[in-house]
Amino acid sequence: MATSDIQLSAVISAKNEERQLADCLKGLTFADEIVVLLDQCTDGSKAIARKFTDRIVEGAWPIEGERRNTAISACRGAWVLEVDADERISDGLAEEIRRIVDTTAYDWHEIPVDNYIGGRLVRWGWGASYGKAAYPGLFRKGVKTWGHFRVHPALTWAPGARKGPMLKNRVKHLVDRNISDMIRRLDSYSTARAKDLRESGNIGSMAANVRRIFSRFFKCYVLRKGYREGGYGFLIALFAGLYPVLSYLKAKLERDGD
Amino acid sequence: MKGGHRSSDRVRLSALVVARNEEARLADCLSGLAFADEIVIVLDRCTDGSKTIAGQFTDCIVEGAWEREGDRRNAGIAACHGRWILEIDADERVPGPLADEICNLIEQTDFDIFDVRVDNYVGGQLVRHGWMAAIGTIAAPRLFRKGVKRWGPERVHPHLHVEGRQGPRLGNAIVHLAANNISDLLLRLDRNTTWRARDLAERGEVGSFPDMVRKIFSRFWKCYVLRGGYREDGLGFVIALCAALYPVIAHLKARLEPAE
Repeated sequence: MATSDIQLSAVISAKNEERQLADCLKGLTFADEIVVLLDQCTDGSKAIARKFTDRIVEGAWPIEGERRNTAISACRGAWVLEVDADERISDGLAEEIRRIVDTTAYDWHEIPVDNYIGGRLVRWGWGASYGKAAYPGLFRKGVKTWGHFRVHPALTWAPGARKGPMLKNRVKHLVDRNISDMIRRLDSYSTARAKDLRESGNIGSMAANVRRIFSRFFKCYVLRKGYREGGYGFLIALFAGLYPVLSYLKAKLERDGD
Repeated sequence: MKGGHRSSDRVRLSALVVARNEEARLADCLSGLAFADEIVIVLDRCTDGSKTIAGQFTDCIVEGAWEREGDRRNAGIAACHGRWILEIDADERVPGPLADEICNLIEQTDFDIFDVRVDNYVGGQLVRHGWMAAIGTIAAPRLFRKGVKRWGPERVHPHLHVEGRQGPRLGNAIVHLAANNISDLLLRLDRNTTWRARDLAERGEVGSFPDMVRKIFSRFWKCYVLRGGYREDGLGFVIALCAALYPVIAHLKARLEPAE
């Protein structure tokens, strides 16, 4: 396909995602091209990616923002759909995306998200560190740039880029399989966040991070109505609350490579 | 005693190690147990190099598959020939002074079972205060006459059944390499709560959610304040947190995630 014919690129960054990748890529075949970035993959991710596309970028990116920027820059389409390996695009969402790309006057759109733990849809109580309510996954190439943090990098938008209305159909986000996965995610996110904190030179204070246990728990469990989700809502709020203090303590007490 | 013909009455002290895929730590542990008259090793479903390492230290090896920690430990105790048994885990070390103390003690004591102190290390740091059994114990009845101690059937932290007279606590401590870092403590919390959840589900006693939430605060207070975890810088906070969250996480795993 000539570059000028590529209206929509679907892009995914993966690090050892053989378990998820095929399911995710199956839902992206509606795009004009699929770009897969493989970051330090040592499993079967590459063989799986090859079945769906020849647009594969391989390498090692310690910073998530840089990895995502590299993946986006490899896209040739006028529009980019950015998806993670643990997200699934339904047929209805795919149709809506094609329609938006054909007709919109805006430069980027948010896609609403349904977050799942195991087979269970968990709608309420998410903190930004774990599940997300919506994300700006559909955008014209060149308008979106990721920041430099390892976890949850900030986004910057090109000057004048206009945000359009949110899509109607939802991405299915398979956040975790079970509570063990949730604990391991808390562990790996706080380890990565500790590295960012050490690099920034300002890790904060114990007192402020202890207060955040309660304020973040309250935000997720009460304000965002996590209590409606029973035990999972409790754990989401608990782990969202513990994420800052664990990151702080890892940054303070441990060094890289420990 | 390695390789020799063994008559039970000549074996004074058996050192018992129960291991599952512990090749990284086993050699260090076993090399500190040469003071015992025999070393007995239970290998539970080992798929790594544990057996090869064990074979360098003893020919008393019991292999098998035990789903429950209590059963596994009882099998190990049954395989010991010694009149006395010292139970040590692969992540523990017996320093020379403790070995001397044990050898002297069992020559002369009238008691049947002794608590041995445990010094828990996180990374290279000795963390003295703020522990709770669910995460790391500070003393345990590891030295006992054969027949005096039997483990219960629970998967994690099985109960003990003891019939005998308890002696005074030993002066020297076992070195327990509890965790390398905070990640290890969190992963230990995950592992132990998964086992605990299976025990709870099996007994049909998962408890009530409000009780488990109250325990977050009471257990944190116990570890961090009453047991002095606050003295251990931030690690005491993490240990208290893990101890505090252990009941509620086990409860929720048992209730929300039946074992597949």
